[in-house]
Amino acid sequence: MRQVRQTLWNLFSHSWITLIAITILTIVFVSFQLIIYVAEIQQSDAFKASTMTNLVLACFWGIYIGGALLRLKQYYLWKINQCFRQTLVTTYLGLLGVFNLLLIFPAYLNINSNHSPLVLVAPFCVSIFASQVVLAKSLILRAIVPVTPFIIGQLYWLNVDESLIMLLIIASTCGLIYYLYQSSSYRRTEPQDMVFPVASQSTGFKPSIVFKFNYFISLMIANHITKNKKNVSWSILLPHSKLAIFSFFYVLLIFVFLIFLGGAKKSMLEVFTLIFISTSLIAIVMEARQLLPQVKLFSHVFTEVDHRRLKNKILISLDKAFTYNGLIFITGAFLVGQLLSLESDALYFFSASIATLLIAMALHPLLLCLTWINVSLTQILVVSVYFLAIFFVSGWIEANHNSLFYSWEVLLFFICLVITRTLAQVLFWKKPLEKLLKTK
Amino acid sequence: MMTTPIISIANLSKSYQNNLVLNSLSWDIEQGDIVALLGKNGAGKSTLLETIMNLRNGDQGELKLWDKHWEQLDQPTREKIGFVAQDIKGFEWMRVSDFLSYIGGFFPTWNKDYCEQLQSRWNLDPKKRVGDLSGGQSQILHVIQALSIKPELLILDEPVAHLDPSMRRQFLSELIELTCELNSTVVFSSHIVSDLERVANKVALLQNGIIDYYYDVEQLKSSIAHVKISADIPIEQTPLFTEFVNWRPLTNGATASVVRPLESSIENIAAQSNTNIETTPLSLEDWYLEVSHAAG
Repeated sequence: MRQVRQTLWNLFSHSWITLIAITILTIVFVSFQLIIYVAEIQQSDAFKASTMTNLVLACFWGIYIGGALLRLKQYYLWKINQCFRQTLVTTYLGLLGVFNLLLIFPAYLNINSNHSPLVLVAPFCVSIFASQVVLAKSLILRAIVPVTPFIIGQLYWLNVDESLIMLLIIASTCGLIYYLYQSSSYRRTEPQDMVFPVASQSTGFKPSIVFKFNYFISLMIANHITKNKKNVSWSILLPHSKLAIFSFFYVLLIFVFLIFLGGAKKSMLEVFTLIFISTSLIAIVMEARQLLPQVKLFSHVFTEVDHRRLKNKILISLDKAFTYNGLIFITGAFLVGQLLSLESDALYFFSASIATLLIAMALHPLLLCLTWINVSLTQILVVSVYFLAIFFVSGWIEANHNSLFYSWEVLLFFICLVITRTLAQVLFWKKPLEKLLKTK
Repeated sequence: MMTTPIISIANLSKSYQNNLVLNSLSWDIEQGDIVALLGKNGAGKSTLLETIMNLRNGDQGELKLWDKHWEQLDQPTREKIGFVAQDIKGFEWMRVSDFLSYIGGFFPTWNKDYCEQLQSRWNLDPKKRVGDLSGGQSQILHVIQALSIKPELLILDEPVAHLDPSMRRQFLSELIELTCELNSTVVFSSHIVSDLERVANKVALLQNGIIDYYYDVEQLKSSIAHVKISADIPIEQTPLFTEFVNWRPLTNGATASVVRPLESSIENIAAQSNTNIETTPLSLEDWYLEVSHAAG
């Protein structure tokens, strides 16, 4: 029992600042639910709004607790000591289970809806899937597995029974828990991958395949990389071109899903816009942070006292990486929109992607020079703001789609981004190089 | 009477893609032995130790601890094993005391007093966060964790690589005390050959995927030597001298090294070859260099 108590404490306390941020969000979201209960809103809308906020909270808590689990799971005892493994898994499941049930139960009781009782476990399932953002072994899995329940949820639009959908989600959650229990995170990379651990770790592909992709794409879209040989860009963004593959991959997925889905196309686009944010804004920056220490090998070549030229090269490299990925994604979205006659949804998608791209370019200097804990906090804030923005701004985009790019709101948004970028860049310049290179 | 080895490995192979790291390796380790495992960088020492710990799976072959396969080992037996990996990550947010108390809770044999003694003896601040420890301090922390279990089997992968000489000496004396007290078996890999002379009673050399040399340290030290074979003419390595390695013909004989106990004595070989053989004892460090050179 003492071990369970200590594990509980360890799962909670692994990052205090993030914990405080999520707790504040939880309080805000729960208050929002209380307002829904007392406001005279239609029951089905109230339940939907309440469930959505619960699911967002479930995602945050899943990622947070999953992060702690991963750090404990990497210890060798996970492989050889069953007691250690069972304690971790039961505490992790118990914590998420109780927490998510407490979240949804008042809504279920207070709002007289006709939903299946199975809905009560939905936030728990979503938490478990969201944990895969950190627990999954490759970046592809980290991006795909967490959205699985949302993708299964889209079956609702194909008139599949709600209980059946929930049973599918529960069954896949059980499978995921079994996999979580069986798999080990001890030394995720094998020795043969140690030369470029990030290459294989982030994609799940063999390094040789990643290098072939990189070579092919660098020939196609980033010719200057090969001209400049192994430059700063290459050092900190080795995987950036394979992230461009992600863009292709998501465009393809969207295309397939849109063919199958008759209605609710916009709903799918919302989901995929969120995925794009997580893969472009977060993934590129996080991978660059991991690779940044490689610059140590040749940073002495840049002789200026404040390493301004080197720092600028790092920033420009990231700007280019965002641009490649963003352009591929946006082009893909445009083509899908044209092919499926989804002009208005495509416009929504197109503007969301452009906004994501610009936000990423404005924020990345900040994310590069913050500590790991503060980066987690910033990510949570960015994703939260995005989540809210997607739902609130979509209506505005629909209303203003004719003058979307000429409105004063867009101009204001752009000015805000320029100011953010300037401030972030100044912070990045001022941060001593040795502190930047220590970032993990 | 034959005793059952604590660790018994038979024909263990492990490869990474096309790189065969362990090649039908067979090895038995007896209870109470302190075995130093040597080998070049990339020879497969960590792979072997982590396979013994069931942290990696061999491609083929058999591994038994206490005459049982890993899956047959019950929990109390597993709890008798201590392990320190080469580079341990995780637990950065915990304080040293919290980490030790947390991990200690999973081992019924955990000796809290001994753990606290080691912390104060090795100047490890219990209030410091694990993530703030230096490389050497982090290694000490995990060594303390492994020793506080009072393990019957202790597997250490380069445990002293980041320690200063004084800490190394203290750690080695703890190992000796532990084995005297509990008759524990210790297997540790190291590049610091001088350490193994102080603590190990057996030395093993992993090269070309097998345990190429496995000898009692004292027996080995009394056998290894640099030899000078005197004659009037250069001498080629005939079958009589096959046990000698690094053979170098000279104008007046040859030089070579003896790197393992010989089947017949030097005097016998000298008499049979009708030569005069002078021997100069080798240190273990020189022995390691000679065998590495011989292996190419």
